[in-house]
Amino acid sequence: MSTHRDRLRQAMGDKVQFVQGDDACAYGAILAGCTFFAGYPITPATEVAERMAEILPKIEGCYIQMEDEIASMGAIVGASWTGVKTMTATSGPGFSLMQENLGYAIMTETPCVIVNVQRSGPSTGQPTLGAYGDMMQARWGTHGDHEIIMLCPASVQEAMELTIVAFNLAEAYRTPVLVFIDGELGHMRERLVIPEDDEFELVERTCATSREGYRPFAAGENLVPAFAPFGAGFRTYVTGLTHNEAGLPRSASAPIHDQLVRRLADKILRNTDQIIRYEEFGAEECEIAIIAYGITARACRDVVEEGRQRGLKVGLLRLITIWPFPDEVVARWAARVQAILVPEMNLGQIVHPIREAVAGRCPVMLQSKIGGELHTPTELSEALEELRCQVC
Amino acid sequence: MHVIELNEHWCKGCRVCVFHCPTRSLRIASRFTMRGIHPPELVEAERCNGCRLCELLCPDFAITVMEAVSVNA
Amino acid sequence: MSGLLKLKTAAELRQTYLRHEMFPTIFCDGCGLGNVLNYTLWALDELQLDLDRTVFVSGIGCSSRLSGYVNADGMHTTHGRALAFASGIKAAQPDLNVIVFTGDGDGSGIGGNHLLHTIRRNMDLTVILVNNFTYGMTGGQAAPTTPIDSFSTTTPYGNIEYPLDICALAQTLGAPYVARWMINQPYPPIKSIAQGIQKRGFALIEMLVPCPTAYGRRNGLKQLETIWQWYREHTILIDDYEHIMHFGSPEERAALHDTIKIGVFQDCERESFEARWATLVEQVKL
Repeated sequence: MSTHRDRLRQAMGDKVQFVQGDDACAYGAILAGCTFFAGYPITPATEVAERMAEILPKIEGCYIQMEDEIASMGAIVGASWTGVKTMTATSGPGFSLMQENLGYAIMTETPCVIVNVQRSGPSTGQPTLGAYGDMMQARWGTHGDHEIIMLCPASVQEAMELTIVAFNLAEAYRTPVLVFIDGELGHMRERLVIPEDDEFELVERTCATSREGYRPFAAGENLVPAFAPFGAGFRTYVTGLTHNEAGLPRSASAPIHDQLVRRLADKILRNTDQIIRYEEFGAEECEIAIIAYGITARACRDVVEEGRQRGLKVGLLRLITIWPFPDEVVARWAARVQAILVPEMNLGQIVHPIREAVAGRCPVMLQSKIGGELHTPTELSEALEELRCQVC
Repeated sequence: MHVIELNEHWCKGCRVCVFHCPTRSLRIASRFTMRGIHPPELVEAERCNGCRLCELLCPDFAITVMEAVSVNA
Repeated sequence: MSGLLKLKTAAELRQTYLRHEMFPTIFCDGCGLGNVLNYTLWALDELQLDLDRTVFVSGIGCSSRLSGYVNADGMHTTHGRALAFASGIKAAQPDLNVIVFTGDGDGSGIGGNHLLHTIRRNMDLTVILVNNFTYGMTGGQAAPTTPIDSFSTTTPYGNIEYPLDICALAQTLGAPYVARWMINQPYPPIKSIAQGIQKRGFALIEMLVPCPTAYGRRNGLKQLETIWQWYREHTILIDDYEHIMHFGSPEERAALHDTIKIGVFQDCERESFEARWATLVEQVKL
C-alpha cells in the first residue's frame, strides 16, 4: 500500500534527473504539498505549468488553465482559502497583470506562491532570454504600503529547494511568497536530486481550533492570525477593504487601517531572522566584495574563488532572500570592505537598497548588463580589477 | 386581521412597501424613527389581506407581516 | 422543489441568514439590491442549503457588497475578478456551493473576459449578476449595459455606445442556465435562483435593479415610483415576446422595440468543469 508521499515521488519520476529550472520549481511545489495550480502560458515560464498539469491529476490535485494572469492569481487565492497550498507561475508581462490580486493576497493574508521566470522588458521585450528586470516590481508593483517575501535561487537544485522554502514561509506568515528565477535558469538543464522527506522541513498554516470567539484577522503567534478554511463553519468574511479583526470592512477608520497595515508589515519585518537567507564566500580578509543574486552569482562565485587562489582579497555575498532586504548583512560587509561591486542583469535595481544599507561606508559600483546575456567571469574579473585600482 | 412588525434600525423609509401595497393599507408615518426617517405604518389593518408583498419587497428585511392574535379568545 | 413556495418570514430570515454587524445596508432609497439579497436568501431557504458549506463571492461595486450581509463564508474580491476567485474555490473544493454576486460593470465590463471563459469552462457556479445600467458606487458613469442615448456623468451628451445583452452572450456560450428578472415580482426570481443553485454547471441570473440615485436621476427616473414603474413597463416575459413576434401585427411587434425580455432563456444539461476534472483524475491518478 503506497502512501500519498510515495505517490508524489512516483508522479515526479526518477530521484535523479536532468531537468530545467522550471521543472524544478514544479517539483518543489509538489514536494511542499501544493495541490492546486492555476496559470496562463508565457515564455519562459510555461514549463512550470506543463509539469503541474502532468503531475497534479496523478496525485488528485487540481490544475486549471485560466484566461489570463489576473485570473490565475485570483484562482490561487480563492483556492488557498479552502485550505490547500496553491501556486502560479509567470514571467514579466504576466507578473504585471498579477499585481492587483497580489495586493489582495497580501491584504487578506492568503498563503500562496508565485514563480516569476524573468525575461527582459519593458513590455514584451525578449521573451526567450533571461533578465532580472522585475526585482523592484516585486517589491513595489502592487499599490499601497506592504512588505513582500522574495527568494532568488541560483541553480536548478536550489530552485526546487527554495520553492519548498517559499511554501513554508507563505504558510508560516500567511502571505504570498515570490520565487524569482530568470529565463536562463528556467530553461537550463542541470542535475537534480529529489530529496527524501526527512531531508527537508514542511510548515503548515496555523488553523483556528474553536469557532467560539474566533476573530479571523486578530494577530496570533508572530502577529499571524489563525486560519479557518472556507466550508469549515467559521463563516469568515474576507475583503480587500481595510477590515477589523472580525474581518468586517472599516475603510473609513484611520486607526484600524493603521493597525492592520502596520501589522501586515511587521509580521514580516519582525521575523527577518527566520526569513532572510544568504551565502558568504571569502568574507574573511576581504577588500573588494561582490554582492550578487540569482544566476549572476554563479559566475561571481567562480571569479571570487579563482581570485582568492591568486591571492586577491575578494569575497562574495550571495543574496538568497531579496525581500525583505537583508540590510544588516550588507551593512556588516560594508563596514569591512573597501568597495562593493554589484553585477545585475538590469539597469540597476537591487543596487539601490544595497547603497542604502551601505550608507556611504564604501563605494558601490554597479555592473549592469542587459540584452539577455549573462555576465562572463572575464567581465566580472575586469570590473573587480578596475574597482581595486580605484580604491586600493 | 394582520399587523406588521418593523425593524426600525434597518428600515430606511424608502417607501417601496407603501408603493407596492395592493390594498393601499400602508402609509408613511409622520413620526420619526431613531434613524431620522419616517417609517411605514399599517393604517388599514382590516383592509390588509396579509399578502406579504411588502415583506417580500422590502430591500432591508425590515417588515414582517403577522396575523393578529386575539388576546380574549 | 414544490411548485408553491412557503417562505420564511423576513424576521426569521434575518435571524437565520444575516450578519447583523453589517446592517443596516449601505443601499440608497429605491435601490433594489436588498431585494436581490432577500430573494437569494429565500431561495437558499427553499433548498435548505447548508450555510456552513456555501461561499458567497463578489467583486467590487454596490452589488458586490451583498456577500458581506450573509452570515456565511464570503469573499469580497477585486474589481471584475469575482469569477476567477470563485473558480479557484470551486475547483479546489467542488463540494462547496459557490454563489457569486456581481454587477453589470463588475461582471461584464472589467470582468467580461472572466465571464466569457468561466461560462466556456462551465464552472459549477451560481452567478447573480445585478444590472442597474450604471457604475453606481463611483457615482453613475456609463457602463457596458447603459442604454443607448442615456445620460451618465461620463456621457453628458448621451451614450453613443450599444449596450451588451449579457444573457444573450451567456446563452451563446452554452451556459446551462440563463435567466433574467426584474425585482418588482418576488416569486419568479426566488424560484429561478433556486433553480440556478441546483443546476450542475454555470447558472447566470441577471437581475434588473433600479438605481434612482446614480442612473435614474439623470434619465428622468429619479422618483422611486417612476423608476420601479419603468421596469414594469419596459420588461416582457420571453413567452409573451415570442408570441407577439409570431402572431402580432407590425405595430404590436414594433412596440416591443424598447422592451427588455425577462424569463428563463436557457435550461439544459452540460457536464461541468468539476465533473469532467473528476473523471480525468479517476483515469490518471496513481
